[in-house]
Amino acid sequence: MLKFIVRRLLAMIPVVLAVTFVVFTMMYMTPGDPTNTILGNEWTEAASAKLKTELGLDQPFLVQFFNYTINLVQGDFGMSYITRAPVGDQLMARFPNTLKVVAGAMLFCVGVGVPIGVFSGVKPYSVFSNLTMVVGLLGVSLPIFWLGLLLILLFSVELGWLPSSGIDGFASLILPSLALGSNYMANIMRTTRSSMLEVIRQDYIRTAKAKGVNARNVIMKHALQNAMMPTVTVIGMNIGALLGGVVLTETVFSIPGTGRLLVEAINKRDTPTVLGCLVIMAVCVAVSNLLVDIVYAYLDPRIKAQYGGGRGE
Amino acid sequence: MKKNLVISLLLVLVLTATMVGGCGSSSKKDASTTPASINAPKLAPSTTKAEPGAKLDENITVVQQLDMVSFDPINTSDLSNRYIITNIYSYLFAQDEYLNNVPELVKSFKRINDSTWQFEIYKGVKTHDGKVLTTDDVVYSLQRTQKGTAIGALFKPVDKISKIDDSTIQITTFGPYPALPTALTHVACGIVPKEYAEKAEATKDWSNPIGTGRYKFKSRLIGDSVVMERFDGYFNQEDKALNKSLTFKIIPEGSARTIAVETKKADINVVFDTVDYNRVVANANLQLWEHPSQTVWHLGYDNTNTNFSNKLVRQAINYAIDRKAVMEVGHNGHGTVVFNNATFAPTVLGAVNNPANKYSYDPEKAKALMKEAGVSGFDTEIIVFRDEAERAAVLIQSYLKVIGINASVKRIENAVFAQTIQAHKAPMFITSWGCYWDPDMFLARRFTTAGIGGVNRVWYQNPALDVLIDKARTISFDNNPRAEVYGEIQKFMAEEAPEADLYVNTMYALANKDLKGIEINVEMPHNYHKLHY
Repeated sequence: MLKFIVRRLLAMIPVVLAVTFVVFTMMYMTPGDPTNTILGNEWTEAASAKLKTELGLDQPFLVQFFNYTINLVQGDFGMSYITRAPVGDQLMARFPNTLKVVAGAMLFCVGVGVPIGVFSGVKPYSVFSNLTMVVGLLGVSLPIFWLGLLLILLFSVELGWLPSSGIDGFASLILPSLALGSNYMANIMRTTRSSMLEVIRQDYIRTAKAKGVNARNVIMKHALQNAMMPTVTVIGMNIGALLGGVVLTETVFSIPGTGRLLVEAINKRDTPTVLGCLVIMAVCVAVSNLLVDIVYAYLDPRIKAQYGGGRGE
Repeated sequence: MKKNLVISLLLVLVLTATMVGGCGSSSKKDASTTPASINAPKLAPSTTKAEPGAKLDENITVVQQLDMVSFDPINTSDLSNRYIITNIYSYLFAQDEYLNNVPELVKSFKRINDSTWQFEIYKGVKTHDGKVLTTDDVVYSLQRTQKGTAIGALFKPVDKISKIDDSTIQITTFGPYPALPTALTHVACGIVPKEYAEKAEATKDWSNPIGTGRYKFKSRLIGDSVVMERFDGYFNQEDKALNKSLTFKIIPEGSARTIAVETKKADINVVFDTVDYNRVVANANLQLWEHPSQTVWHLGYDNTNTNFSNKLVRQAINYAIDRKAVMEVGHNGHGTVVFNNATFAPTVLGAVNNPANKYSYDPEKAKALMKEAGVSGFDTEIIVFRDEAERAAVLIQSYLKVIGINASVKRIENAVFAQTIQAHKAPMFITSWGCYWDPDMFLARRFTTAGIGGVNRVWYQNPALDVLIDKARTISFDNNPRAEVYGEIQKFMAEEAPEADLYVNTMYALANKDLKGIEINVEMPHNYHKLHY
């Protein structure tokens, strides 16, 4: 298992390099240049040319990419074209905030989606099950932006229970987590429900019931572990989606995170900042996929054996 | 099963009805029944003083849309940066409500001849790290400004900056430059102690700024907030900060900024989104202040494009547009219509609204001019990169259609706007221009060869205009004769019509009802050091 983990960690290096190359190329080929943003109304061709020389933007593509990559390998994300400050400083200040929001949203998704999905799968034709499906549909359909503003109006303005913006303490994470997590909670709920439906019809569940195992243990000990595999897959996929969707949440709730930073950097053509954000996000997605694979191993011993080099029988 | 289906459908209907009802625009109080006197916007005063009994040790939170960029004054001229760092650094001249100059570090100044100025600096100005500002610091800062790019054309006429003695510096210019004191109000002219600036440049670390301004830097959370505390050693105790500290909170979304003030998480919102206008005027716990801006929204066209090279066509466009309706659509009606063709906001030196009373909304006159020009119509494109501009463009599209011009609207990103102009791919465009009070600071670069390749986005050149602009600069250092020449320029440009100016929008400040000391200039609320309870 340890060998498997080390192999996967080493495999992240080519992934990060590939992401860097693709993003760098895309930013290079995209029309527009950062001198437009930096100089604003003082933009002239001469001033732009001077600034490009200062920023190294007059170098050929491969030279720029090579210089960036060499620095990246040494842990240096370079200097922002706009702020002329280290990109690493911005990332260190902002990324933990994004992680908090994503973690909060994931907690909501899993904490609400899985139990409801389990119950809905066990009692598939009940009123509660139908209601949860409707709520799930609403969660998927409501735009994060709109839902976020509604939550602010209700809980911050009308009731005054929760803060409307910022990331100062646990209370400030509740509304952003709800807004961001609603979209993805439905996926988890529906996946859990359908895999529970499939699992509780299996022979070994009938056997457990016939043996006299109580209903709670039938679900929690026998059914759930087998039903969780597809759910864990969806959770892993959702982490990447959450990192992408967090920018709207950060905008509505004024959270200084990497999602907002990324969008601002793209608009300003601040390539080092764009690369820094995307490299961090790529690493996060790779790590979360690794964690999902590790969880698989604990849910299914056959998979664990495969990781260890066995045939998994 | 059937019963469950029916119940589920009913639930869906109830939920949908709740959502649709929640989407309605009702507010707690209908703005139309609220007495107009209660919270209608008030015109912001130009200066305020604390009343007896005022609380002068409060912590004030200001919300704005964008984060600052850098504490290095020469890094950028972004407004979001300017209105933060001008509290940390002092300037030779500060800006008044029209962005004209008001002495700050300058005790007195004189012009030795047409191109030589001397400025006497106050002595004993303390820095935030306990030292004393010297004229060497001032000269160093301004020389740094000169080498940087942020100030651009405003410092082009500046030749040399030198120290005369321990309290006097001298600036020489290439020829007469009456606008020099106003140029020195630019954010890039912030005075930074030389020792700190050299260290910050060497380490590329400006994160702990040292200045001589009313506030000392305390802390910054990137993307979230900047906190600064009153500097009790500020050299001008008559105009020191009336609050203990300022916190600038960054909230990108417009309604969220309004909510921050409503919920008392912030004291003042300096970038008010007019979409919340009706809601805030109905709220007795808030106050809304207004001030006309000097930001002129205009429809520009590429004067080198064959379609627009005919003056009659350009004049026809000016007659074809109902500017009031465009303002309604662009800025919800919050602004003042402008009939001008040289981006003169009404409050600018020498501004004349509708020079020679030439233009009005007259589609028949527009059609007649097109006929006289021998142009039956053509296809073209309006380039925009902002929401307000896009809304205005869609309406203008319909006005142009009446006179035979089929304009499609194309939205692009801000980052490619300059290149689009450079490549002559913006036959028409809508954008804004924020004017300084002195037209010499924008006319030449907007409408002469000096601005080609820069902000002369309409590609207009005319030797006759060059002569007039030069005359306005050199006729006198007294503004009255200069204003007359600017009047002539506007009449000239009304004939030439290189662009169609539409309106200036209104600036607002939304604040807690008890907050005092609110001042707004033609760009943004400012002078946050005056905010108090």
